[in-house]
This record gives sequence, C-alpha cells and structure tokens, in this order.
Amino acid sequence: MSRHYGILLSLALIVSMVLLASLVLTVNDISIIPLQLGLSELASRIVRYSYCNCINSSLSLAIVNAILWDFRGIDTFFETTVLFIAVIGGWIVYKNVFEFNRTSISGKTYSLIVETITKLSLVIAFIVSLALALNGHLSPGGGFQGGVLFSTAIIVLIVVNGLEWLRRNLLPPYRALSLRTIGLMGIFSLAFLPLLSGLIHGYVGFVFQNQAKPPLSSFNLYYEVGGVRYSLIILLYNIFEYVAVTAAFTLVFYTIATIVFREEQGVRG
Amino acid sequence: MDIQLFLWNVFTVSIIASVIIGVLGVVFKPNAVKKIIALTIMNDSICILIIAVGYLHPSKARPPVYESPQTSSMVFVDPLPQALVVTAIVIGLALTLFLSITVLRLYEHLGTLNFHRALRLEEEAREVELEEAGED
Repeated sequence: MSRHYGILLSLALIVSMVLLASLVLTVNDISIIPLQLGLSELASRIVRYSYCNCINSSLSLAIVNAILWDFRGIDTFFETTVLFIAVIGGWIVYKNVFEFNRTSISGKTYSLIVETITKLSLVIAFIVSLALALNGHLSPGGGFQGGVLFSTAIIVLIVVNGLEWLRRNLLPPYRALSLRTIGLMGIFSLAFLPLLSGLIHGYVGFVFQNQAKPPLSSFNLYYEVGGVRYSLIILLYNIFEYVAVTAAFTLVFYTIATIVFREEQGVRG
Repeated sequence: MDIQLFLWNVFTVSIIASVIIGVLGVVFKPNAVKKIIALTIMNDSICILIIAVGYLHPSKARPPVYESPQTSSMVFVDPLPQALVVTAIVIGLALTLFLSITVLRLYEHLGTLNFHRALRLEEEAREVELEEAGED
C-alpha cells in the first residue's frame, strides 16, 4: 500500500514541477520552443519545390514524401538498411527456431468463421495498404506506412490461422527474406537511375537526385494525368519500400510468434 | 498572463520531463524490459519535441500536403521535422526490435532479466572457475 502512495506522490511531484516551471516561464514571457508564425526560408523552399510547374520540381503533392525520397533519399535508404539489419540480426539470433517448429505447431484453435473472415480481411487490408503506398506522392502515407498496415493484418492471421498456414500458403520465412532483399535492391538500383540516364543521354546525373538540376542534369521522371504532371520515381520508391517493409515485418512476426509458441509449449533453448 | 503561451509551455516542459524520465529509467532500472520501455518513452518524446519545433501557430497550421496542383497558398506546417521523425521512428523500431530479441535470448540463457543478478551470476561462475583452477 505504501508503495502505491509513493508512486502517486512522485507523480504529483512531477506534475506540479512541470506546471510550476511552465508558469515561471510564462510569467517571464519565455517559450522553450518558439511558436512560429511563418515558415523558415528552408521550409518554404522545400514546399515550393515539392510541387510547382517549374523544371526542378519533385512533382509530389505530399511534401513529406518528396523530402523522404527526393531531397534526402540517401537517409531514407540507410534507414531502410538499418531496419533490414535489425530484422536479419533478430532472425539470426533465433535461426534454429524455424527448423524446430516445422513439425510441431498446427495452430488450429479458432472456429472456421473466424479463420475465413481473417483471410477475407487480409485481402481488404492488402487493397487498402496498396492504395496507401501507391498514393504516397499524392496524399499522406507512403511505402512504409502501407507496409506496416498490411503487416498488422498478418499479425491477426498468425494469431488466428497459425504460423503453419502462413508458412504453407502465403509467405515462408526464406521467401520473405528474399522479397525483402528484392525491395532493398530495387531502391538501391533506382537510386542509380539518374546517373545511368545521364551516362546514356550525355548529361551529368547524380545518385538519388531525382529532380532536374537545370544547368547540369535534366533527369525528371514523370507521368501525366490530364495535363498535370506527377512524380513517377517516388511512386516506384514507395512500391519497393512497401514490398521491403511488408516482408521485413512478416519476418519479425515469424521470429516473435515462434518465441511465443515455444514459451507456450514450455521449451527452453 | 497569456493562456496560450502557458499551455504551449506546459506541453514543451512535459515533453522534456518525459525525456528526463526516459533517461533516468534507462540508467537506474535494473530490469532489461523496463530499460527498453524507458528507451521507447525517450525516443517517442524526442520525436514529439522535433515535431513541436516545426509546428506553426494553430491559426495557420495545415498538414504538409497540397490539396491539388493548383493550390496557391504555401502555408503549411514545416515538413522537414516530420520527414526526420519518420526516419527516427523506423530507426527506433529497428533498435527496439533488436534489443527485445536480444533480451529474450539473454533470458533464455540466464533465466533472469535483472542485470544486477545476471552480473552476480557471472561473478559466481568466475569464482567457481578460479576455485577449480586453484584445486588443480
């Protein structure tokens, strides 16, 4: 009982300290982070070149995706690589688990109705997540968000239909790993597209710089709908990122689900 | 007293307080899972702090998406911190993932999540080894 009082007391202390500190700051007319009224020069430039009719535009209505894949694409590539390394690391730590589980888990615990509805909702989740990924350059969302959404449906599938169903009918772990690698290699090779195009057509191209740099590079990949240009390269990046993230999360859930099932069976490694 | 400034200050100060709580949790909690939870709290608080840096006054704040190619107004929330935070979220996810799987493996080997107890177990094992070496 006294432990609970201690927690409550420390919580009250923290809240009162926060309120007191902000009161003191307000009385002295200070804000730690200034509440800005307008955009900075850098931000307004980013907003301007994300979509405009000028030549060196990123042609993406969603500004965050323009930044992610165009203005600082190398960062995003390495971020994806870090996730890849983490997934591979986790998978290697539990590598022997997959062989162990091949025979032992049947995972038939729910009724036929629940299983069928889960499979149907997997299709719906696939369509929604694909729309989220393919509209990444037009609206909020993108490859990563779409991939995460689809992989949540895969969690439900693992819980309801079992790991064995997923392994047999949809995506075995080794295929998930190769799908992940295909996605990452797609992003990697797309990054060299401006350079390659420059070599072929005789201008200077830059790695991961997908918009035209007027005196040097004229690479700008786009498609037109009713006379309005949209970015094609961000769409392609989003598709590859979607594939990579979905496969990565499936691999993660394979690892975690096998650990959970193994704990349930009371096996120690 | 400006009530808007006061609320904004409460917001920023509480984010900073939760960053400090996260740091203290990582340093002082002996339990490995609680360390990971504290790390996640710290990570997410810093993400919100970065988002808050790019936030505009509420009367002007709009999400950074053009509604149509013909939009003339260029006043959006600063999109650069949001893009940074997307990266930070993925990196944090990767870190949490790898740490939790490593801790699970550690638990399977040692049978404890407490770092103090794990170190004591290791010391005892070393003492046993030294004794055995002395006997020989």
